[in-house]
Amino acid sequence: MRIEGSYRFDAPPERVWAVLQDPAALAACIPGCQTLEPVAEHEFAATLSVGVAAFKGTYNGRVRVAELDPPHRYDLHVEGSGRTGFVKGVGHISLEPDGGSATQVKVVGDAQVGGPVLSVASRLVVPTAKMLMNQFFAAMQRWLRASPM
Amino acid sequence: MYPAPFRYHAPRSLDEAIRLLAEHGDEAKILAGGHSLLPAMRLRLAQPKVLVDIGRVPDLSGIRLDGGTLVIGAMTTHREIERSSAVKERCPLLAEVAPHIGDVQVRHRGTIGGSLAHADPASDWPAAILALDAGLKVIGPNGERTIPARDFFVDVLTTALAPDEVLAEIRIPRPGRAGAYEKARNRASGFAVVGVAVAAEQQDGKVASIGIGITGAAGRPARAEAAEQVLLGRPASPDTLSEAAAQAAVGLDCTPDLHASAEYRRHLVQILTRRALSRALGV
Amino acid sequence: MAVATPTKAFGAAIKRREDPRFITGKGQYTDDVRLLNMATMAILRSPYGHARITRIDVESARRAPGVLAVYTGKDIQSVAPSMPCAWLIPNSDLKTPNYPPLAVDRVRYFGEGVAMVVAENGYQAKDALDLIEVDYEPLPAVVDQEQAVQEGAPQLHDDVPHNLAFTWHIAGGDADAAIRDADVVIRQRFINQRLLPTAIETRGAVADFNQATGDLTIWLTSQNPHIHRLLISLVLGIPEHKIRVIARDVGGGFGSKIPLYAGEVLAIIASRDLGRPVRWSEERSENYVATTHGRDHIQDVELAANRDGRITGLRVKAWASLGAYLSTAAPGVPTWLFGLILSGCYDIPNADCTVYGVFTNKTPTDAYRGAGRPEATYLIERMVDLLAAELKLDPAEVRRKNFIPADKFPYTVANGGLTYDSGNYQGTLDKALELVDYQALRREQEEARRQGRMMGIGFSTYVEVCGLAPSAAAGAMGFQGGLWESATVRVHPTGKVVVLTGTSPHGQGEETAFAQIVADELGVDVNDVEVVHGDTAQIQYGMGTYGSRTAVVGGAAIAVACQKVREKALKIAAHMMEVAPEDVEWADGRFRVKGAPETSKTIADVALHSYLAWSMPQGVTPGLEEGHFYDPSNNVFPFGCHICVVEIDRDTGDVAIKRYVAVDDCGPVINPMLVDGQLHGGIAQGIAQALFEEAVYDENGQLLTGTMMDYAVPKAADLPKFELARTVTPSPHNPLGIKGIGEAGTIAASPAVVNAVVDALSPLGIKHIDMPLKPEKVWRAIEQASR
Ligand SMILES: Cc1cc2nc3c(=O)[nH]c(=O)nc-3n(C[C@H](O)[C@H](O)[C@H](O)COP(=O)(O)OP(=O)(O)OC[C@H]3O[C@@H](n4cnc5c(N)ncnc54)[C@H](O)[C@@H]3O)c2cc1C
Repeated sequence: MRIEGSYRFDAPPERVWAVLQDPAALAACIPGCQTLEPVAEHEFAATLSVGVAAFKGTYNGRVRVAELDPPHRYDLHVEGSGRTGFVKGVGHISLEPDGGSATQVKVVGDAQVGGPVLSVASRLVVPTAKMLMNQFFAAMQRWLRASPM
Repeated sequence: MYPAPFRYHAPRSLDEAIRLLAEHGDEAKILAGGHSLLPAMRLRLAQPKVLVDIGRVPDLSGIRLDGGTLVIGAMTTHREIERSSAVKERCPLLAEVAPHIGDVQVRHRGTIGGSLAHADPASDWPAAILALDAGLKVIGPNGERTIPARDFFVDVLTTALAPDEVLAEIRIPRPGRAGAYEKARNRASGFAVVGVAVAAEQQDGKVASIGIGITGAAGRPARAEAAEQVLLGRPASPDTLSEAAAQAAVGLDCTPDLHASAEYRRHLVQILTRRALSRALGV
Repeated sequence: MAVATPTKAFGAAIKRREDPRFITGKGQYTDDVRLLNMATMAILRSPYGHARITRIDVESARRAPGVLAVYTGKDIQSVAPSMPCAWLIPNSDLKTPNYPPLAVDRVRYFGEGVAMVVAENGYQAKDALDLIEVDYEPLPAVVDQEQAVQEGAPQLHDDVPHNLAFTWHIAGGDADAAIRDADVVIRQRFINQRLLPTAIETRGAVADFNQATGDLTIWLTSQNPHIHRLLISLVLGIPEHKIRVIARDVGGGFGSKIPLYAGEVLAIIASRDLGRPVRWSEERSENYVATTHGRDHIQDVELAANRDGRITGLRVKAWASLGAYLSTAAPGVPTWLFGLILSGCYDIPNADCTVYGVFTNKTPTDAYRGAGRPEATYLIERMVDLLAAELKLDPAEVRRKNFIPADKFPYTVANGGLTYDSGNYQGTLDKALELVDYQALRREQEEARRQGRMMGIGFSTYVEVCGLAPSAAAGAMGFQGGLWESATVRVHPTGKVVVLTGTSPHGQGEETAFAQIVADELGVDVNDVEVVHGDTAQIQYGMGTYGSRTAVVGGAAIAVACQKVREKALKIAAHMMEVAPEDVEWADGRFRVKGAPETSKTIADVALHSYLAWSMPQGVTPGLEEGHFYDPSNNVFPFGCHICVVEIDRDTGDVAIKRYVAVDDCGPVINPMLVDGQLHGGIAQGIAQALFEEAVYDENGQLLTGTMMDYAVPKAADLPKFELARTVTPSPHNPLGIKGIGEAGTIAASPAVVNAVVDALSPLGIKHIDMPLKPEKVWRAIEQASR
């Protein structure tokens, strides 16, 4: 599964970068994130309750940040599994200045989704993944706006 | 098939239903016809802790006229809409869409409110509801509000309804408009790979009002606004229709899945829009 | 005194006696069985296509409310190490890797059982499944059989190099030479996609083991209860005489209920351990991963011909996906049932076939309606059309040119493996051409093309081999069983008849058809005949229902048993009428004195006499009951011609079937309504394969079509009206002259539809599209060709 997205932040790349790497921001903005605990440098253990509408599942997994090139790009590795399925993927995230005070964040993600959920509802997987990604970045945009300089 | 455990309530009034929903928040789900919710529960994809069955709440179903507005209760079944003479007369588009849904058994159980609230991206009703500029009257702890159809569908399986709100009525203004529904049917599920609904009015040889609703193509149903703009105020001719159809997929983020690629969906949107326009406008 | 002539039951369109109970919900399927103190079992299934199991923790499941037992693969290993394979094809280097009922340390397909829970009820069992923790280490999967045999592909079984379960070869004449010397050679690759059999009744079992007596009673959804009994006995070591298998009503099978499955074995183990009845019932999404799949071939085909259209040779290389393990009859399906009949109804002197049976990370495959023959028929029927297109000849003409002529029967195919009993292929083709008004249809097509519409006409002239037999052939093919069938015909003192058949009808209507056979053989009313099947405690023995053998072999067994009853009854009747047996004849359903036909006795008269036995002829024993084990001398070979007319929506690629004409020949027809019913269902499945049915896996071995939301089973509304007709060419060796019709529709239909679609697209230069011809695929082909 491949998903792509592009999001505009009203802040320069350095500040967007800082927020995107901030564990507190991540915990607050990852949809359904219940716990996010560091287990190593750039690596977290997470419990997520994600889904859409009544279709919800709890997933345990790991989030790892790699290939850091501040404030330009990094890779976000996500791995999780729950009773209804599992996901393993990587998002290539790049930040580009947009004018003087804004940033375009581009995401190109590649993920393998599997398990019963895929088998019975594969048609919903891509749109749901897109929705979750949109929610994440919308939350990040709000977080950024709300957090002091 | 065995759903996970849940508690079941069958309130006798809307107030009681809303109180139950408010009390249980995210844990609760309304049960209408059960034809989308129960399959998900039986697969254990959905595991609500509480079901609030609104089947015994009075006044949620039925079809009536309220001045110039056709009003359909949320609990009205697909089959009732299909067979209603008021609907046939006042809103032929709805009468045309209904038989596209599942089979007779499904239509006897499933409700229009359930279908809209569920917001399955492949369901049929949203195309028509969008095309018709319907208003969706919802009632919650803080009273009622009416959500325009175009603000109702937020994302895949997600609507503007709050967890403690009940969709009560579908209100269709300006009944009597001509309509047509074209659907490429998924051979497995019967749902729409793409569905296009058109509602239109012509005056003095020109398109006076036009609504084009598209379902199945993307994560959420949408209006084909660019296509509508092409036609509005212009005469309906083979050329203007084709010109409009070519714009029908503008802005749509088409979904690829097992049954159709994004590219094919995009193509179908244009083809089916052309066909639906042609029938609705008699060109 | 005028004696009423009983109306002939054989050939009458009698309504199915099964239907009232099915329609009113009074059938007794496995899941309808409710026993006192019955527990329910549920199976935890692998979410991965291929993975190592690194840890299983069942402790919290064990402590969950209502849970009686939890098992993992390790617990089962010593009790039932492996599921059986019963078709050990010779000369093929067949590998039979271990097939544990529950995976032990590795899962090899999505949906493979990993653990199971037995609880007081199904809710508790399911809730407890959610508490089992399994850690998997995912392994690379391989889902394509051609890739699976390549160097470096992921290996499923340590003892099966290159995932190659077997290589099987059969040939006759010299296909290589024929191809080398031919005027034209057509080469084409075909993908015959994977299908999910989708019987309306999913599989299930209720196992009731009595710890005091050691008796096991098990209700199953089975096409062959005695084979199940034997296999259960072999796998679990329960003596055969202590096992009773009951399959009263079975809601369809299509081959998927031939094999013995893990679920059934596990239910028995649990019942034996707990001393309680244990019920297991598949959900549909479970059925789609845990019940065998069908087809899944990749075929490379070469066909050699003369410029005038005469076919001179055929060479086939096929890769058959067997899934992750060998199901009960799996190796026989892509080999014997496919390779022998490859040349279809054509006289092809040189034919060569190699089949690679390959393990892949998918659900095991086995027989599915037609089993091997649809794969063969599709291939040859498509090739004939490709040849016609290449030579710019009419496809009907090319067929005519290559048919085995009616006077050449019995006809032995080039590979020597089959001798067709009888046929008149020209006859069914001619009749079908007349029915569709072929000339007019072609003119209509020309007109349509002028208007820019895409209309196509497709043929399928098929012959198939069924009524699988004889036992000696089974032995030669490595099938670990006989292919005879048994019957007991028991006439009660009142003249009512009970027939015990070893076949196991599961929806086809043989309770009705068999009664019709008996009615005529014994001169009794159809309603006075009861047909009993599906219970090993009642039935002598039987091989079951598959390969369109039930009427052909089982019906023949009944007919012969009836004749034995008549032989004995004739002696008694003669005694009763005080004449010599030589002076009695069977006429119009009665024993009559020759020359004095008004002196007669019915079977009922004789039956009463025989049970009273006050005065019996010398040496004749009391009672009126006979049994027969019938082992046919050959298979039977039904055939026919199907013609499909389609129109394609150029803008969407949607295919609409405008007409579907089928002329079939299954010899004399016992009940035309039943034959029509079999054809309707069969054609429906064939059309579905051609147009929309497809089991889809992703590259990790995930089944993406896990429910009917995504897997397209045919529905009545998807299908055209079928125009059916028949010719009648009896089988010379069958006592009733009959041939099977259970699979013919499926075998015939897919190529007819695809040929029609390709015919419609041919002006664009399109030669082939692989099934299923979903709208997008057709649309893309059109787009590409019009560019
Ligand atoms: C075999 C089958 C085939 C089908 N084919 C089609 C088809 O071709 N096209 C199509 O469009 N649909 C199809 N459907 C879906 C069918 O139309 C459902 O009936 C419908 O989608 C849901 O309506 P319901 O009344 O059954 O809702 P339910 O399943 O009871 O509820 C669905 C969701 O909506 C919520 N909800 C229900 N009513 C309200 C309300 N008044 N206010 C707020 N929330 C509410 C519920 O909490 C739940 O989350 C099919 C269903 C089946 C089983």
